[in-house]
Amino acid sequence: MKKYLSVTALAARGVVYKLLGLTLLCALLRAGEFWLRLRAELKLPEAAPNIQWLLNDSRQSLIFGICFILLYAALCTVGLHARGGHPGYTLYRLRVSERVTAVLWAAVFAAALLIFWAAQAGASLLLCRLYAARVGAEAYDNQTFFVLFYQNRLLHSLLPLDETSRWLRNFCMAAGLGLSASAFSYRQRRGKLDYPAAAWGIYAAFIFPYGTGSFVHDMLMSLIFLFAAGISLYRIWEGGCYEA
Amino acid sequence: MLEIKEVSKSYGGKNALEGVSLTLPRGEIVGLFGENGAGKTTLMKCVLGLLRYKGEIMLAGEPVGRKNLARLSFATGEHSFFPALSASEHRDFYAMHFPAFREKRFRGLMEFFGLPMNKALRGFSTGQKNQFEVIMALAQGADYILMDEPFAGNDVFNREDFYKVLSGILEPQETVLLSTHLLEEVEQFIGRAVLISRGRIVGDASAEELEAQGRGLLDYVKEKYRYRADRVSQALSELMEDGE
Repeated sequence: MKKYLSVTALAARGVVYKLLGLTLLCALLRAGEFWLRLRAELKLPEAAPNIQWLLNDSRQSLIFGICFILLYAALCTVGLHARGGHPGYTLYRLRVSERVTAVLWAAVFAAALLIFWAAQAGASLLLCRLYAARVGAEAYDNQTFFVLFYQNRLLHSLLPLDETSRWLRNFCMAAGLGLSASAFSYRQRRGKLDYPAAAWGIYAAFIFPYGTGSFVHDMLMSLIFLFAAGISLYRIWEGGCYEA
Repeated sequence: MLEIKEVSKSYGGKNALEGVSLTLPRGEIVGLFGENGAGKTTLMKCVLGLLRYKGEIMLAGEPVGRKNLARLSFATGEHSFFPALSASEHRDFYAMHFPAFREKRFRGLMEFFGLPMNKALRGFSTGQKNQFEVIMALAQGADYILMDEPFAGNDVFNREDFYKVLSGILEPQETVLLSTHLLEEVEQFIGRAVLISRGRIVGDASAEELEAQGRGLLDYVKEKYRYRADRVSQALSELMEDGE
């Protein structure tokens, strides 16, 4: 068991600071953008702004998407052969086969994405608190934030409440992207650049907030990311030598 | 015994190795010499199974594979360690994955080179990284230690001292295959010289044979490579003529 933990820890170490940094950066940028909009609205003589309008008009999804792509790119770079070293020559010789290592790393990467989403859901809750503190109790009621997490596409995708299909989509997406990132690194060590694997991250960042409330959309996306997971597993299983 | 039988390897139609056959008994220190692109690195990578090849490579009568791969270690100028880990973390990691890990040798060599134990390897100088790479190859408890240009970037004093230490610490069952351009430096240290040129073995002589013939390693290499002593003067005179 320890040998599996040790190779898993390699990936975790490669990810943890990047995950922390990007999670914080994303949360700060989102908070900053929200704060600027809220402040501008509060200066106007009209009644306090509705948080749903504020968020729907904001660039929260864009900020989230960019940070998400950066995180996915960071995951793809764990274990790459580069100037700093060729760790694949060691991974190849360990007691745990490199294929198993790649699958364990995929689990770490998927967990990193889920943590990122969870942290962004938490950041969204903090934005709600910030809003409540600034606008006063007359601008919202008990249902405001609950409804907000149903109606705002990004927030609902981050915290889908009782929409099981979106939870499923998110888990399939994390699994698919985790395996794609790991397969990218695995194949790069063999001199092959897997551009489709890189493209999955961009696609996921783009579609993440879309299709809320659509069971069919979520099922379709789940299938697409399970397909990505399957392709990546096949590419890892296929293996091959260090030809470059 | 490590037996390399009729090994051929080509990259996109260009032959890197052509029918290379070589036997490395246990307890030898073998120098592998050749010009840039001669096939030294390719040969080592084939032995480790990092590259696909035609032919046969047997370790104690069995093909090299996952079962016996830990009996081979590899020190490469490309560096096979994990840049984010410190030396002590590498020690713990390698000790878990290579049961024959030599803790005492690791500590001794770390002290000899004066390398820091708790600093991430990405912060080491190139020379220190090379030293650490060699330490890990020697400390894994492998019977066959393959070293590919391990001291590029190290100063001459470090290299000379290291060869002396290496001669002292190697045990009778350990074999070293050392690829380097530094013929004169390793002349006193190796027991056998194998010359490779354009993917073919062009010379193979033991130190005793050379001594009995009254020849130095450098003379042997020059002879095998058909080195023309007059090529410099000829080139200079041609250049002078062109200048006139």
